[in-house]
Amino acid sequence: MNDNEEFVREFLVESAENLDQLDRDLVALEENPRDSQLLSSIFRTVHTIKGTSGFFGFAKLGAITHSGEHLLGQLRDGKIELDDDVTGALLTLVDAVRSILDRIEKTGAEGDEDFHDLSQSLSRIADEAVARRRDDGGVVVTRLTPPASLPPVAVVAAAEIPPPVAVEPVVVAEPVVVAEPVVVAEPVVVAEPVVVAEPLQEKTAAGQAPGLFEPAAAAVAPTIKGERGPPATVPVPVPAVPRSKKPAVAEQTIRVDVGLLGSLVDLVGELVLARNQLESTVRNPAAAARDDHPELLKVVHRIDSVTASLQAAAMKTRMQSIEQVFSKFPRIVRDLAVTCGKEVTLEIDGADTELDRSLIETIRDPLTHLVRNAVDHGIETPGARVARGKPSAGRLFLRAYHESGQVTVEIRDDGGGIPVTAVRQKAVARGLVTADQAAALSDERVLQFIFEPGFSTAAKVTDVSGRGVGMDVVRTNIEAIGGSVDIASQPGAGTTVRVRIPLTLAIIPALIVSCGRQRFAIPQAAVRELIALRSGGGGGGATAAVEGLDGSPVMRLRGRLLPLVFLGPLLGIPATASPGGPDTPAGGTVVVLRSDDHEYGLVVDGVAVSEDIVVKPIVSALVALGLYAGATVRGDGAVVLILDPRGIAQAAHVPERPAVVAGDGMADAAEGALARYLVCESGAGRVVAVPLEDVARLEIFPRERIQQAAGHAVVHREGRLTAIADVDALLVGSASPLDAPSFTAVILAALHGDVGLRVKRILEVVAPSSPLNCDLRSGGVLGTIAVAGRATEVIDVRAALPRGDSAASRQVNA
Amino acid sequence: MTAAVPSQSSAPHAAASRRFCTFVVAGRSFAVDAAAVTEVFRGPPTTPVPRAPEAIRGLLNLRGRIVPAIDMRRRLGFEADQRVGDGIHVVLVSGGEAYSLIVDALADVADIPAGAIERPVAASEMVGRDCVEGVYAARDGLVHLLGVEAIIAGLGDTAAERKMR
Repeated sequence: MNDNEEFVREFLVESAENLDQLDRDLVALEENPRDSQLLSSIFRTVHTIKGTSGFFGFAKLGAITHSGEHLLGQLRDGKIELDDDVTGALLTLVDAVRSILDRIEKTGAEGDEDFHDLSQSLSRIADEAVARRRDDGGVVVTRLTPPASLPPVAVVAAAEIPPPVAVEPVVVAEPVVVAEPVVVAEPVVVAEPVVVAEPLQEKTAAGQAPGLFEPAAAAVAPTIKGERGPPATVPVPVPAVPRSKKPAVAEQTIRVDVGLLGSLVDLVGELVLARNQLESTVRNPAAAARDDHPELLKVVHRIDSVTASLQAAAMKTRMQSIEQVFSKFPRIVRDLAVTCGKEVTLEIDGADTELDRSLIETIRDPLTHLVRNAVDHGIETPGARVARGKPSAGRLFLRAYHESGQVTVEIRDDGGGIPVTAVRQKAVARGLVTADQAAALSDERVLQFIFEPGFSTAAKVTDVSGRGVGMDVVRTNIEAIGGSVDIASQPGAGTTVRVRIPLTLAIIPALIVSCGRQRFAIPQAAVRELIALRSGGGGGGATAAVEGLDGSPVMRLRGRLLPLVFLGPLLGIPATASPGGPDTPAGGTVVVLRSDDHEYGLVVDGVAVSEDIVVKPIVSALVALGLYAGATVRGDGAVVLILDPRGIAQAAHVPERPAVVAGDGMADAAEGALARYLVCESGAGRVVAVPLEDVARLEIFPRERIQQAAGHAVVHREGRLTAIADVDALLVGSASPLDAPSFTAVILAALHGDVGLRVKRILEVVAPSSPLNCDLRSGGVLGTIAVAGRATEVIDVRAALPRGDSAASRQVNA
Repeated sequence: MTAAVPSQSSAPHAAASRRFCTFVVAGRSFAVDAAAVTEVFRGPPTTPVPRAPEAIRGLLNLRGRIVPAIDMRRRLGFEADQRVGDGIHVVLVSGGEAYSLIVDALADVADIPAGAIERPVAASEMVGRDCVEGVYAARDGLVHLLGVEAIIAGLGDTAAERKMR
């Protein structure tokens, strides 16, 4: 078996792909039962698995695929019609094959699960239907039901049957007898194959009247295979038709070991580092002054551009199409629709959208959950739909597309939508907001409660899913990879969920902080805000002071107590310049971090820079510490550890965030639910507010950094262009002059950091007690809020988008 | 005396002759299977990992790959080198992951006949005996043969835990 291992592995890989194809084909066949090409493709796939399993001696696999093939043969020959029973049985077959293959992959053997019932039911469906037809046709047939006393072991036992050579093929000349399906398909026959099986085999091999014999030949094939070994010697009852599926693509792709791709990407990363060093050496003033190699700069330039292209190409090799996830959905939707008694048409668009292979697995479960939710709770029963004047079949629309460096997956149904009123009531009932606050919240904001743990409005929770249950898990999983989930719903018209996923996990934005002499990286996804820690009693603006609560350091943040963790003492790093510690808080920065269970402030000595880092794994002995999520190599070649915000919270015994809080805490939860705004002053002196949830970060740029590209003001940051929109231009149509040597840009989160708002300065962050007043809603303005008693305009960040995209953004709003 | 033999599956007696990479730590000779060693160089500085097991001196950037550097003095239970030196890195691969052993000096690559390898005696003064798989008497003294997997397996232990074994 050892020699075979590689072949078995190949067989497993190939079969996994084939099974996915089978799922799709079978569901497609249900729509077009007469598509003979589709049927042939299914038949061939099952036949291939059967053949190969015989070669490797996987008897169970051989037995069930054999029965399946027989059924398919009957179908193809028009002896039976495709109905729900047949499709159901075939899909069960696919599941069984998958389960056996899974077992083989894990243990190398088929395991002892019993599939005889399946084999029997496949054979029964095949033959009963035929018999029925014969009855209809007036032919007198004695229908033999398999005797209960004869266990289906017969099929397996057939492997011990002596070679067929000894048998006289004379019997074969009587095709009429053999073609009698009642005889052939009867398990009894298989148990005594010396009579029936071999002649058939000879006959088919001789190529005589193959059409007539196909089902029969198929029925006995495993018997023969068990004897003969390699499937190549087994006569294939179907003429070998070349697969029509994208032959051109197949010829242009090769299988490459994933490890090899990984090392390629690593090496390219190393090359990038060397390139950086080369560049800094050449551009160094001393070298520039010598300037004895004018050609050198040109060469460095060329190396620079080639390296950039090479890096892009290498990263592309890690990409896989989202098809891998989507391909499972036709089957899932079909099964679920049957279970729920619904009619659902699934439409898929953009399955060829690519993203990093490490992400494919991560998004599989959340997306599956959303799809199940849509079928189970989104789409109504046919009766309810018709009553509402909709077509009885619901539509489920899956779409994936690239957008500003991210992949967006949209799951849209035309079902009943989410009852916003019920969500609102539930939020009040659960104490997440007061009734007054709930009434003031916009519908969009109310829908966000769906992502709260344990939040469900489903009247009854089915075994399939309950909308709301698990939505918090969906969001947690997606946010863990730096993505986001939005939900929009219109009562009666349907629900749209948009999942945004970064293109790659390997490169994440991170904050580089310092602690003692060391630097660490913190994933930006966990960072909520940065606050300067007040040294001594002075300070003002965005600073805070450390207080003690039962011996644990805490900080007051907008009326809430935020637990603090001092990184230096936690890691045992001796303080250098400033003695930062719980007892002598003197300077430093609080990085407010949020993971699923914790929210706390991590006190570091300083914040260096925010940059994209390449995440690299660290050995298990270090992962086991629970403090580090990995490491990265920075531009200068230094290794920097990536902190694990959640692990640090656990190591420092930060209390978990309560899911539902009572009493005092209720105000906290309510505050979390209410909007916060960043208030800033525009170039022309206007005071405006930006919803804080739309703000990714604030950056200061020197005026010279602004460039013009395609009619837009842009700055180059972190290797990409960020459009800079002037706040005054958004509000009154004319931009304020840029006289100051530098300006502050509010980089917008909703637009993936590709748009920044130019403002003169940041004033404060407010959480107004009264909600957004939408009376004055207009082009660039969402409404107004009261800041220190004055009405302040809230900017609609979507209006800041470059023109070409604004249609899309309006859609998002709708 | 078999108490000190670690439960390693790769018995050094199996092959007729094995090639070892020998090096010096705290004045004594040690060796690892040369087949596991991928490269040897005088080390660049490493990045310390706070709260890591004491035997891990830090992380090393090996052509973009992040490799833990194991201080063999500490791993074997000797006093840490007081001199601030980067040491010699012996990079080896075990279980698909690369590790670097920081040693004082590199000695030799030697083919050692399997018959000449003896089971280690329980040397009470040697804390690192949990990774010693065999002993070979070379012309200029004893060479302790270290099991690569055992070196790595015991990484997370503290010196006290190793003494307990």
